[in-house]
Amino acid sequence: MPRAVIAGTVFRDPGFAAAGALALLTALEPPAGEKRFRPQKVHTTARGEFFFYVPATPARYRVTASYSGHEAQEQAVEIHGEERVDLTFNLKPLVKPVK
Amino acid sequence: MLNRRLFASTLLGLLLATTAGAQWTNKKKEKPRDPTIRSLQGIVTLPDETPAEGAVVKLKNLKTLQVRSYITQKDGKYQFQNLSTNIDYEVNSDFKEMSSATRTLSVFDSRFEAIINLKLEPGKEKKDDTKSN
Repeated sequence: MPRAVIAGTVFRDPGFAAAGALALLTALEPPAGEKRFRPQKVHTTARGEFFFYVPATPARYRVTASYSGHEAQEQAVEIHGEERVDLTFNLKPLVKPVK
Repeated sequence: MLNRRLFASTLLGLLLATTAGAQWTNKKKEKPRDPTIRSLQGIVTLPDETPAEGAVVKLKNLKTLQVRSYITQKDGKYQFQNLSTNIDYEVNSDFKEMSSATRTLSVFDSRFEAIINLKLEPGKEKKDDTKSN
């Protein structure tokens, strides 16, 4: 079965690899022929890298990257066929409210 | 007397040779360079030639199509280590609404420490729909 790859790297400001960050893949428009797409969740490698395999059929996905103490970010991805899409996240630290 | 002097000078010579030899052998042996490994570095600059801080540099392995990313710091420098000399790579950079031309690090490039500087150009916008939660 042909597959597409959604890969990426998660950094934490100012550019360190975020190892063990969480990457979540959800479908905005499920792949053609599938009613429901089960969300996928992975932790990033020591280099902050992650990847998901998805069906190589047109679909739209949302990738959310989150890391402890940092603001989560999301990016929309469009898959057209058998291809590889690479994303980059640079997560900013959460600003603690001043008491 | 002459014999004694000759003996002393020979002894001194021998001693010097031994210490020099010992120094030479004590010298830290340098590891031979692995001819299959190379590195790539460079500077990402803005159109006005100043270093770009926070630019994303993407290095694509043209064999596996894997992409490695790097975010530049204040000096605009980037570096990728442990690259294969038997694989072609493509490198380019994105920053805000600018991007650089894609440059290739070929297998025919014999440098073990290759340097490729990237210049960002406005207008070559890349679709980016990042948003923070």
